[in-house]
Amino acid sequence: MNLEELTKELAVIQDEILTKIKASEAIPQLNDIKVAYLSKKGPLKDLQTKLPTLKPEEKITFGQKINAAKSTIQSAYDKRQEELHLQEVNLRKDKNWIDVTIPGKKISIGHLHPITQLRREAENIFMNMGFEIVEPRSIDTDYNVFEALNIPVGHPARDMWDTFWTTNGYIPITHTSAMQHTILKEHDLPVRAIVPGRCFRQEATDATHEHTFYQIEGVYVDKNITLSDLIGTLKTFLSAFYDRDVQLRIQPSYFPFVEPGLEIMIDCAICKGKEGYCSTCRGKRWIELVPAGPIHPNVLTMAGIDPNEYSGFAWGMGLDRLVMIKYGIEDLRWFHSGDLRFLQQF
Amino acid sequence: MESKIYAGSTAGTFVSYSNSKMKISQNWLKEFTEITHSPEEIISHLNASLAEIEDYYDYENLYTGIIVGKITGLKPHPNADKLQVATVTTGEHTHTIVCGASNISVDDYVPVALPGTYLSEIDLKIESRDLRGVTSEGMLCSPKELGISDDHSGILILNDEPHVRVGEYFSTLVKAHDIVYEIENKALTHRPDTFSHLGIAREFSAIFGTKFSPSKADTKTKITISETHPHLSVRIENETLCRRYTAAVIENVTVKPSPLWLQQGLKSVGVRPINNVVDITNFVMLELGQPLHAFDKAKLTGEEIIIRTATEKEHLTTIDGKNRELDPSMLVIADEKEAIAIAGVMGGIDTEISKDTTTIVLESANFEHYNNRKTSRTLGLQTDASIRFSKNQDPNNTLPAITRALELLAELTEGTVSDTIIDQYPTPREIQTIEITADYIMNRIGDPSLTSEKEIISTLKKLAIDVTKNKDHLVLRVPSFRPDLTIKADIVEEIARLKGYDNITLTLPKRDLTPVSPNDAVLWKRAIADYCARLGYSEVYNYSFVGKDLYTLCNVESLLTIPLANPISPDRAFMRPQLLPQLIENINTNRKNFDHAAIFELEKRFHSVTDDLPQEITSLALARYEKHQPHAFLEIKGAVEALVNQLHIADVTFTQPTDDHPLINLFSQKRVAEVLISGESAGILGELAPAIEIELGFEGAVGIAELNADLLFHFTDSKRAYSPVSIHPELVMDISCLVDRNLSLDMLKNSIERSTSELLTSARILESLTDAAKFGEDRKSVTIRLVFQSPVRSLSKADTANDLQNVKTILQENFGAEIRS
Ligand SMILES: [Zn+2]
Repeated sequence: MNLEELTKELAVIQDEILTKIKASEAIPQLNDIKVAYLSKKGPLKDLQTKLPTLKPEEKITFGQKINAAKSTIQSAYDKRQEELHLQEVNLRKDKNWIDVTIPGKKISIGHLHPITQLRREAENIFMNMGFEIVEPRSIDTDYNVFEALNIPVGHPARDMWDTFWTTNGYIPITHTSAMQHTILKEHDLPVRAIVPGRCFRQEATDATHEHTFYQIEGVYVDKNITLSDLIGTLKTFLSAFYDRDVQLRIQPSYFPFVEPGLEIMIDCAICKGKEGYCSTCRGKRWIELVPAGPIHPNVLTMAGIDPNEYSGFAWGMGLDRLVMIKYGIEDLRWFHSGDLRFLQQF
Repeated sequence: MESKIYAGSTAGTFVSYSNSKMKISQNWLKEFTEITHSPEEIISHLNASLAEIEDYYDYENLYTGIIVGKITGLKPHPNADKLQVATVTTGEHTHTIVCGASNISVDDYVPVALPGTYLSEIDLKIESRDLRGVTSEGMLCSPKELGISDDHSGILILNDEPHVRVGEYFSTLVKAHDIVYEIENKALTHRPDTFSHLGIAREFSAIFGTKFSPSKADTKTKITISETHPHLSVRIENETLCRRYTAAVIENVTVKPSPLWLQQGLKSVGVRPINNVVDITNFVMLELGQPLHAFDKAKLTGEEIIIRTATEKEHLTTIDGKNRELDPSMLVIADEKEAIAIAGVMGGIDTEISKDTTTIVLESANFEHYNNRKTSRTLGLQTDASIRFSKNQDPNNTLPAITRALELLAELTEGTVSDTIIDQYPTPREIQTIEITADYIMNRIGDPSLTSEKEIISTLKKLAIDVTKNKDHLVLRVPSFRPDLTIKADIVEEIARLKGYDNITLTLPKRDLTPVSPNDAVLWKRAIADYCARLGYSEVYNYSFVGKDLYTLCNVESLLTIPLANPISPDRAFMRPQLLPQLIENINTNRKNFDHAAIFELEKRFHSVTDDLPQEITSLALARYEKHQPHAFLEIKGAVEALVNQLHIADVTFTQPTDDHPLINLFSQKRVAEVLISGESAGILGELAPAIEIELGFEGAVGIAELNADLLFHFTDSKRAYSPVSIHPELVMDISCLVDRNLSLDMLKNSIERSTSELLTSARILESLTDAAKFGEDRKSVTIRLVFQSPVRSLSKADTANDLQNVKTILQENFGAEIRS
């Protein structure tokens, strides 16, 4: 074939490719066209094999023509590719329309009980202060619940703990103090421990009374532990727990296992002492929070600790009350309601 | 008996008496000490140093506008038969008052409400007004109109009131103006002395540093104390329970209502006036803390008072009209024939004082506190007397109290007091001695600047403690009314509380830097709860007490083996042996508000142990509810699998539980699996039994699980091994086969994993199908996906041929499988 015939054929092939490129409807199809025409067995390669039959100067001319054709095809290809891409994007854009103002899909997340959450906070603070965590039994003996705490049978102080009994004479613990004797007897001195636990008292349930409640007991025994250490320790904890400098007010109280007995109150942060009724402190401006006191020498002696050498203190703070105050919960009965409308708020 | 007229409290201004509250009258305290502080200051100091004062009542405005008048003239109303027109003088003025009552006469002293007075009891403002043509310039008042009692039968006549005077304020006549404090006495269980005005006044003087003069309660009467008496003898049979018995005889008494000042005094502190004799016994008790009791001597059989324990099934009708069965642990006061009182608790109705009583035996005794409390609790009978005796009253107080009472009886009953008091006091209470130093007190408080030795001594003396100095030691002799002061720590308390705990400079204990050893079990439970929450389950708390109804509904009532002796209600009568029944209840609560609910609880369950404390197991229970799904088995199982996986527990298998599994009745028969860890039963999961679903009206599906969390803790592997992620492609092959329908797929999977090379990274069950027509009744079709992967190279089919053959062999030979593809 001569140059003229080859040039014609090249034009035909070029037209054919350009037509196909224009007609292509998707990028994979476009790519297939490109591969088919440019491959080793493609029509352009086929024309190139015929180059040696041309004269040297014709070779140069035809080579340039082939390159020009390739370039034209490449441009057409690039253009079509861009068009198709845009088309695809536009298509998806339309398909992806959504009313962005409708709410998202509901995902169920599990919540921890508010008492669990605040118990952990309290535990963490006490751990940082050097207290280990000890768990109480839920049912214990009269000895551990009362006698070892200096409350013998018949003692009028037993009136303060309206006790449940199992028919075979055991006690669902009335206070986490039931663990004190065991801790004092079994742990090496000095002892620093807290006992978070569930307690039980035989009283009718209403918004502010529960037969099932939660306490965090604290026990500290070492040489030269003083009353001022007790108050200082609790102020440190309460300030850390409430993240403010809490003010304390202390009233004398009576618990046979401490001497003296104290009732520690904190300033009400809900009403901050302002005028008007406050349901948290019931208008008193102070909230009773922690019964406490230096451990009674009899309790130390019963656990085999010499009260002349060692002294200590203990407290039993109400965890439910910490939670109620923190969230302004008005009714204790929510805690055991199992109602997700309540639980999912925490 | 007159008492009916004077029954009832003055409504409105008074609150009812409560056992844990004690009312203290400021007027009464003033008999013994000076009071100059405002109620607010008093409350704040008593709060800081004694006990909580809940509230106070100000009676400054009681009876405002009521004046004592005298009737100087009385004539019938010209236009009304039932009315009279009285002329009444109030001193400077004379008033014409129309009156409907007929019990008035000329010269009677009466309470007059003048125009402008507001009678809150009957919500009436008094004005001058025309009554059938006569202008009435005020009103004569009945006891009811004044709020003194319910009596509205006539005008209150004041002729018998001591020192009655025309024109004086009615409130002055009855000593009504007062401030009454309400003390929370729960914190005073150890302080018998504070159950009296005298004791509180002593505290006042120690707190405010004012003078204390108890002498006003002292008697001026001369008396002789003897162990015998011509018309009465006393025999104490049980000297442990009756520590002292003092008694006197009063003859020729006139039983009638007390004067109004005495009635008012009792009412202001919440005690109901009865008659002069009973009122005096109550008055002395409130003043000195010593309960007294008066018997009608004519009603006694014989002339001997015997203090003994009750006989088996002895009965006594107490003054509240209840017939009570006694037991031999209880102490009674008896005459020759029978019990006449429960010692220190309540008297018998047969010997009580009535308007016909002329001779009384007055008892002032001391009873042992623990036994008194037990008797009171056993009988469910708490009285003013038992509240005091159960606090360990001072036996040395019987004599001052009885002499004080005799003085008042002589004055207010016109009775003849015998000059001999019988007193049996077998073992007089000894004075306690405590040795202490000021340094000790300061060291225990931890604030050396709080006080000084000098101040300590003066404070202790204010408390009637005798202090002598022996070098640097203080020797303290404690009065017998302070049985709470026995050791040095008790003295530290006295100093610290009277100085005020709020004034102590705070310190922190000194400690070394040893880190706290963490409690693994606690941290472990935190992890479990956290994983459950991550899986979408919310934590619930349920009571540890459950009832028979719930467990019967769940067909597991036989698990209830630890009953409470004194449950709060039948639905809280047992310690719970499982958590799941209550979670089912929780689901029932929540399904009203939610179409989907997932909850868990992590708490103790209880199992009885012969002759020992119950076993306590920490249990994890899960429940989920899907209203719009037919099943929840795979969801609950998936949660349990994810959990044990997170907790790094190996060798967990699921199997069909046996029919005697304790919780089997909770579950749907075909959709329940027991969870085994290393072959040990660790729990059970599945779908709720249809019977329970129907009973509760559930729609949709409920999946439940209960696991032994202690066992999970035991099997957890804290050493978490990391295996590198391979960058080479996986080779995946599925095998389908027919096997026995009851074959455990866990077993199948474990066998495959054990018998293949390390190139097999997992064998996962894709599906398990039954189709009786296609596979036969007792066969199921199982598809297992085998995944091969090498950490170092790409695998070809040839590399896995050996393992594949092994798997097929095991399926066929060990499990009788028919390979389908
Ligand atoms: Zn407040």
